[in-house]
Amino acid sequence: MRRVTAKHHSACLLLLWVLALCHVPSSAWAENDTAEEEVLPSGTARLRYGGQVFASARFLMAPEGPLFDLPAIASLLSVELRTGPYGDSNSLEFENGQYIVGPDEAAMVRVPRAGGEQTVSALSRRPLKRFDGLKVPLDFLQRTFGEELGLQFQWIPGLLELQIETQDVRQLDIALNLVHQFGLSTLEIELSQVPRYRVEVLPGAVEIRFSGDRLLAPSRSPTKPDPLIDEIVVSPDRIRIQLKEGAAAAEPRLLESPAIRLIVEIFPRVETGDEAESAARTTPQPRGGLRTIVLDPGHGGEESGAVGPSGTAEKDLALQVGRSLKAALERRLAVRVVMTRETDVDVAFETRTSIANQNKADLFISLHFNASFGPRAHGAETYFLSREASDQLAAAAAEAENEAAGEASPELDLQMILWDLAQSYHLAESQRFARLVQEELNQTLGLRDRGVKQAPFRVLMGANMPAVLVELGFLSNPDEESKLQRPQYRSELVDSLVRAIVRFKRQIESQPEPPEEDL
Amino acid sequence: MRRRAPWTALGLLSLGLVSSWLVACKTSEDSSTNPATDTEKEQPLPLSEDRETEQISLLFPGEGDRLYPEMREIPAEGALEGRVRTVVEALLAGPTTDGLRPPLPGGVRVQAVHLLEEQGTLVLDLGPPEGEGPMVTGSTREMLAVYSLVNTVTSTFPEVERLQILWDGRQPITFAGHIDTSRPLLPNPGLLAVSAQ
Repeated sequence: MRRVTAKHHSACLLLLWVLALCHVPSSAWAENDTAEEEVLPSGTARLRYGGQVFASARFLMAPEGPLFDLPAIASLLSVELRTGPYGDSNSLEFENGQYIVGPDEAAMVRVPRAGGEQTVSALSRRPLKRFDGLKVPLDFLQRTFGEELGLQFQWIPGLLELQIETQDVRQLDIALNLVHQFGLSTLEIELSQVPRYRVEVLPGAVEIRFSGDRLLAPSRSPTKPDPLIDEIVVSPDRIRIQLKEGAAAAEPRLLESPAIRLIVEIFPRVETGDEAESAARTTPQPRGGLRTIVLDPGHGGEESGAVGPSGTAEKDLALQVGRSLKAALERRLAVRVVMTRETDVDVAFETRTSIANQNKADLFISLHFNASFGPRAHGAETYFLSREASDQLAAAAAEAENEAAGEASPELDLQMILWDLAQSYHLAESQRFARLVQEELNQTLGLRDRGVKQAPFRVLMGANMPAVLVELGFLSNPDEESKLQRPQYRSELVDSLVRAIVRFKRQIESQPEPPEEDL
Repeated sequence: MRRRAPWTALGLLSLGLVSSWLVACKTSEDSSTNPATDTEKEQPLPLSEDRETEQISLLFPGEGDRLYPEMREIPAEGALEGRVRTVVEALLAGPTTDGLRPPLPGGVRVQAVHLLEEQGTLVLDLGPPEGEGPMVTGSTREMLAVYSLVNTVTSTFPEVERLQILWDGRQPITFAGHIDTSRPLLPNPGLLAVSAQ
């Protein structure tokens, strides 16, 4: 699960509700929906709650696991379910928050009642809309009813029975250790068992809520005041970390070896004046999900980029594909999409990455069309920044920070080390995303696989997030130029990119640790 | 990391001074004045029967968007700058093998060459053909053009670790909107045809 700001995801919520009100069956996506409404085996499951069978519910058996009738389960557990007029938006109303889910996306949005940040998290598969109500996967039930009401869901296929039990309440011993070093504070919460928890990011605070577990009084607590933390409040079901003004917290990390610990890192915001970008550049971004994507149509204005034999300009195709991709992503995913240019204008390289950094983008995609010597080269290739270029940037950033600081500063050194680490992480994520893009383009279009490559692309330098440059075909090849002029072909390219982004989103939102790959 | 700052600053300062110097040299050439005696050392060295030569490889773009070697002989003696000029001019003149291509359009010329010895960076100032704007092409062609120069020079001269290309005395951000050429570049062995086999 990851954090999103209310600002970032107001658009996502709006999208879900607009989908509910404005069903457009003639759209290409509606056709896809129809195509995916495969005939699945279905049946009726008994709902056993607290040892007794209270009701039954329809279910569908999908390859990934069963999908259960949401209205029936909400009714059994007395939770209000609000459904839009076309069933595309469904909202479960709990005391602490609201969960929104629909049939378009394998994700759900949680809106806390107490304010603070909304969260979007991935589901094991997309729910399915049927005439009698939305069918949802088991993990949705566990993460909504289970966490809010302290229930455990278990599917017994042999009995065609969904068993719902009250979770065993475990007593957890805890101890708190707090270290402040080099301007950063690290809170270590030792636990006697692996906790069932979720994180709420509130204004000026982080709250770790434990469902089904009860915390005992800490055997050890911090005694010294901390420059970044106002107070730490431990209740039986939650730990609240109240931050001082100007402090921010990274997503808590659970470590299970050698001891079970939750690690919360608190760091000072580096924003001074209009230095939002400076903060984004010097502070490693906490690992999160895919909330904001920046699309960068290459070239523009006087810079045409490559030009095909019949006059097709790279800048025009890149803009067309960028616009289509933005529209498709906003339809399919709960993400905010920002373009570096919406018209045929010159945009400096630095401005392009600056737009991504200032928007705190989680992914930067630069869209290009290629040209080579002669007419034969064809196919797609995806680039991420070369390690050499990244190292040069790190050195330049260190130098700039040192000059700005004047004299030696351990805090700045640490920040630069962290920034360097963040860049390594971004490179690994960029490589992972580049592979997904390449796989999708190859599979869909049967293009020649020119592979994933590294190069010192100027536009990728300075992006503080995973960033790739996609070359979607060769304008210098007359056949490929001809194909690229066709809207249907460009639409297939866009579909491939959407699928790659969806896969990347699922991967980063379900895998807790960054990949370890040699670059 | 902090200790690198003075060296990096010194390097950038040297690069700036060399750029200014190269522009000054060009200006003096343009005004038909006699260039400084230092520039004599970077004049191409003519081949003659009584001079020792060595075989080197020029790397030209070719099939499969790779760089292919073509053997040449150059003088084995003389100042490095002059030998580099000979090699780069041969590269710009184009290949003799069918299927290979010259890296840059005809008319591009070598204006100046200078080695920053401490950094192992060679500064190569190229002059655009008269009236020609920036290169208009895709990233593959741009990359092959740039690394044809970088790979050829760095593989021929062990003293050269990186190549900083200037375009008419200035550090271009890119040649065609893709590859960063504002910094000295290391060779890219991945583009060599042999590495694809």
